[in-house]
Amino acid sequence: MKLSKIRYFLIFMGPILTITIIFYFMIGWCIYISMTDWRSARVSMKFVGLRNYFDVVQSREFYVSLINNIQWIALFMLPTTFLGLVIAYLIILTGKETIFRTIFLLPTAISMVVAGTLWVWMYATNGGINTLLRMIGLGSLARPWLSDPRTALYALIFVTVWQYLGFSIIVFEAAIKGIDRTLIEAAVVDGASGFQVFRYVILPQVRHGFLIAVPLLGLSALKVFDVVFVATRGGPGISTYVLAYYMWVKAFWWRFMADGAAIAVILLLLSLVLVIPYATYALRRWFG
Amino acid sequence: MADVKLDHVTKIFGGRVVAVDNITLHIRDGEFFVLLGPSGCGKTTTLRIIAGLEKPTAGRVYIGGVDVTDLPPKDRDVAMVFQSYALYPHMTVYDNIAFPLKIRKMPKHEIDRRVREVARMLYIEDLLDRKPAQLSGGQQQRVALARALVRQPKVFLFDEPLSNLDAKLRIEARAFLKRLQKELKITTVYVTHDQAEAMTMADRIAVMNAGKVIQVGTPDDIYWKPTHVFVAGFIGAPSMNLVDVSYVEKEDKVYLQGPGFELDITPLASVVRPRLKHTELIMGVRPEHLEIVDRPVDPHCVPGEVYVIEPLGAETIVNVRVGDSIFKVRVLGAVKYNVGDKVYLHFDLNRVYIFDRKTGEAIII
Repeated sequence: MKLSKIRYFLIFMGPILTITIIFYFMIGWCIYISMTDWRSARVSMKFVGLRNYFDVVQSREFYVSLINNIQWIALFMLPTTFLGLVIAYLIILTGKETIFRTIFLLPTAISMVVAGTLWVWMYATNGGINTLLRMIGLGSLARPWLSDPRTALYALIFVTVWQYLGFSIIVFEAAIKGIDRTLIEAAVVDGASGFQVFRYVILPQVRHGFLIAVPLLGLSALKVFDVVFVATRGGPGISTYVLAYYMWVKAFWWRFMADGAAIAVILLLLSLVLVIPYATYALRRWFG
Repeated sequence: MADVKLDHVTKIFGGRVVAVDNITLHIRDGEFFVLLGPSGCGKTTTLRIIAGLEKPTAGRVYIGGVDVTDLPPKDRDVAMVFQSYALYPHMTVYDNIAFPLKIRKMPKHEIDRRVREVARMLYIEDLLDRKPAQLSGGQQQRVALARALVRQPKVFLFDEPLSNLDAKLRIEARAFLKRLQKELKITTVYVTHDQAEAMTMADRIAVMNAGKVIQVGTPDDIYWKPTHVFVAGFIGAPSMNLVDVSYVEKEDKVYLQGPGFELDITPLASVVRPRLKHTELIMGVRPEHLEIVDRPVDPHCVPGEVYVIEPLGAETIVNVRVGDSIFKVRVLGAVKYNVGDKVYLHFDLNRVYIFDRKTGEAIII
């Protein structure tokens, strides 16, 4: 009896504990490496304190990356969330949810590498976007979107909006469908227009949708790496650098492991800044 | 103030399900009109068509003489109270009541005045700061009512507003609502499946079944003069005894012959005979119109046996077995009979209903 209890404990708790331990060990190890002088292909573990952090933070690449990440969060998170909400509402109004959901979810389902490659074609000098612009007589707007430092970042941000919109729509579709239908009908009979129904009945009751979508989308924007890696490699110049890409460059291109680890730790701290207020708010709301 | 007219209204869902089948109704100005019927009979759909929440597949809807068939709900000036009350959970009671005025961009002080007036009328003044989740069912129902009242609409629509209340509260609310409607004189369409609610509150009732209006009339008409076996069976508690019978004539007497019994209805023969299309009939008699007697007092008695006795205090329902049929008999107070006693059932021929078994229509009312 006793033995079987121990066995059950090991079967269920063992893997969880193992994963948790390894996970926190990795974080700890990463923090430790970020304070060593491991700056070449050869492992070196001499403790140097916070020196790497000062070096990294003072670099121009870090500054550009941070600003880009902040722009990315602002220009990606807000439109994706609100567009998701609005489109979800419109989709429900059409009553053809399955078709539209499939269409919008398709980009979310495909890999970011595939999406990145697709959009490289779309953005190319003779790619889809420019061809379209020329067709509708806006040829003057045509440009090499990803090679122009003024547009490259926003072109990439747009790709992530395109890719995550489906996710946002699903979240809000579920939230809206959770609202008692008669509430909406009551508002309609009370005289509310479509917009007023949205503003006074639906919006206040999809807060939990924001609670799910906002932190997850914010984190995706903070951690964004793949689309940059596939589409621009941070270029032109360093105009599309983001922290995760800078981390990769430092750690696996320059083999400055300690600097890469320092950026990783900074990313972790930034994630916490984004998540902790939301998590406490959510916990307080849901569990009093 | 307005009347409501439905002119040959039909609603078909998904091309196949006929929810409302060619209904024509005229609800008069200031009237308390009840749509009564079992679930799925189309009464709620009819109400939603009046509200504008459903578009009729065919037919027209008029409110106050204006064709509103193609108007959205907000332009019809109707207010609706839902079965679930549909209170906005994120708003206070005050904001819930103020909502219809707020979206009409009424000045703030006017909204405040009206909300407080309605709240006073419905005894919910001290609840104005609460959220709906903090209210009891009865209080929520009043808030929903207040939200409908505050606008002073042309027409009130109620969709089973009392069905979520417990029995005691329901009876109180019934009287309260009726009184309120009489004071305000606002045309009211009220949907219910509860015949007691319909009988107690309505000026007129439309009994519906399978998407059709079977009979329209005052509660008295519906009770005393059912034109269809469905209405007869639906109204009254316990419901009317309905037994399949055949019309038989022998030796210049006329009988209704049921399974194991014969009832002499010779005095009715001159009325019944010309209206008969065939001899397959349904006989109906209300429990309160039957009498249990020890021996036959006239020719309109049939022998039976006491089967079950259901005492209810003020009255007793006695089930009497006659042939192969059970008749429920309503007796005031207690009864002296025991199960198994041989008795006679006395039929008052003025209160015996006869329906055509094929069409269900009344042959004598």
